[in-house]
Amino acid sequence: MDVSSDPQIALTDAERFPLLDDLSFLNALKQDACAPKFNFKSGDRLDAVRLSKVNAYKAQYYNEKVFWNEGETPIWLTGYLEWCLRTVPFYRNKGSDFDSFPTISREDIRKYPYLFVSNEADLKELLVYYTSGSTGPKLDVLFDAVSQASWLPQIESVLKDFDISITKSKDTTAIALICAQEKTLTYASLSAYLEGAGILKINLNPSEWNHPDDAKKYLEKYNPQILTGDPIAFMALLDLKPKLTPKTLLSSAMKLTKGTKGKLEAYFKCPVIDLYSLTECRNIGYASEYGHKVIRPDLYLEIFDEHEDVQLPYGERGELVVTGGINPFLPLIRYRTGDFCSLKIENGVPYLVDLEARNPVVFFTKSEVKINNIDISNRLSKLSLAGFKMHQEKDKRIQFTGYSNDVTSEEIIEILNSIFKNDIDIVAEIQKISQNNSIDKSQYSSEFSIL
Amino acid sequence: MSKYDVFELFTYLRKCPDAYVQPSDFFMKEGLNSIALIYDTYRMVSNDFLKNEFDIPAGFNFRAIQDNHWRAIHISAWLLSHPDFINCPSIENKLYSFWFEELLHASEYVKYNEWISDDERAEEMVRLLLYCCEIIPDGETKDEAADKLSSLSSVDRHKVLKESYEAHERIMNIKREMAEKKAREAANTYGRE
Repeated sequence: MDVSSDPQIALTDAERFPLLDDLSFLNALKQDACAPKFNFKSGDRLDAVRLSKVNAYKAQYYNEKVFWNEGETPIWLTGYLEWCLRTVPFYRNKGSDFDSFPTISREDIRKYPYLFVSNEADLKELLVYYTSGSTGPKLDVLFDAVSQASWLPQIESVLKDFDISITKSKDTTAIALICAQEKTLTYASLSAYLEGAGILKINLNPSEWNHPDDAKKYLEKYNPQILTGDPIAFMALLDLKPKLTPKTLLSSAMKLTKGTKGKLEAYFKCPVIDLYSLTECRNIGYASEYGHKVIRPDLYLEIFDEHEDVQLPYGERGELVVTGGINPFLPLIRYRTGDFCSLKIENGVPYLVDLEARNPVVFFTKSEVKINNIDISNRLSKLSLAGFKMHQEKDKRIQFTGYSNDVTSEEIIEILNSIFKNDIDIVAEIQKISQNNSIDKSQYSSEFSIL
Repeated sequence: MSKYDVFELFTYLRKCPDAYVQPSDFFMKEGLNSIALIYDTYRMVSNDFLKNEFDIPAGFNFRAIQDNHWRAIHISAWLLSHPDFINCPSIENKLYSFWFEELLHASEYVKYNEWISDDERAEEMVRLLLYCCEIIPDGETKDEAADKLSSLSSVDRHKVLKESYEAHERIMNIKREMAEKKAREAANTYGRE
């Protein structure tokens, strides 16, 4: 959340937790001697009706085995399209044939968020927040408490593949969202869906704690079942050497390299899952041996040419395009994610192969041999880099900035030289990860034309 | 002169005598005898001046018709006195829906004198009558005639304006709610995106 957009109007606890009477665990989380200086309050906003919708969402999709098969579309697609055309102003007059329906972009949502609201959406349910803008201009995202809380059953369907379940109880901390930033909203909360279990959003930045050891002590005391965050935050957490026994770490928002994953798994002795999710539609899939396994039967995924509205066949690489979701304030039809991959279907379940965030960038050796950024990602993935930026200048020199507490710039130069066949000049810098970082997603850029 | 030429009928309608614009005798003692006018019109188009039974539902309550609607019917009776409609029995059973359904809806949005004084409304009445009578205007195709009527239709125009107004209202409400909700706490965030 952008600092300048911090909400100013607080709710009451009754509005935050309509279904939870016993807030003693919340008070314990907030009033603990080692608790951070929480700067915000938050609730799940689930009343009985909303909670029943979240449960219905889980019941409808949790056990879905076949999403769709090659050459087919999901059975819900026709009805969904009709509903969008009938009730969502942005989609009016854009045709009624899905095959020829135009794609939409983040820019459309940024410019006209109100036109994506279904006429059937109850404005009393509306919630709003900004995205950070780490991958583009800031965006108002409209949603409701149900689509927000549906993050939980979506994650349960991921954890099911790892034989992990979240213990639902009012005296356990279920989830801690770990941040290592200069500033972010932090709070302790509860989840009615998880039967009153605790939810934390904390910032490891030392200025957010009363004593230097408090972050470690606090996390060890409440020992969250699931840690969520990005690789930078997890590496900052690792630096504290906390004695935690999480069931899993869910990494998202940035590319998780194999090196970082291995390091985290070795320390925390649990699976570290690389989630692919977007603010616009929440979780989409998680990294597996065969690509990112899609977990959302309520989304239909296609691959499109980056520049033209041309759908590409299965197996061909292009921009990932999403249709569907359960957010009545932002129903998506052919939304261009800005991320690139190819699509394959295994036993009715889609996989995103070689998923890369944002535009593919081609680099060049001094003698004009093309190097694909996917090859660079694959090779760098072995290192425990929490993130990196790589830019090629007009004179073909590579500027590389990596974030790690143990990788050296010499290692980077060696790998890049090997990829570029020793036909390149490289300037590499490694920045240490601290407890308060301001790092964007990993990204490639070039002063040469982009593919 | 071609039959059912819109311009010809339009010109004829614009010459509607004041007598046809008078209120109905349901509203004013010395007003126009609306029932007699309707029956006379039926007799003219059917060319059967002895006929006394026409396509009006039994028990139809003429008293429920509003003044503005009555006067629109009177004006249309003038239009139906044009030679194109005399001795034209095929339209006899179409007049009920023209007078008591289509003109009823249109009269909600059109003041009676506009059917004569306003060019667009005059053309709308001509085209609405031809449409109800299943007559394609001279020199036009069915689709062209439908398009032209649709572009003139007071009912359609009102519907579009209403929808447009409602859509505008909805957007204003969403924008207002967005500004209000942006300042408020939202709901728990569980992971990074």
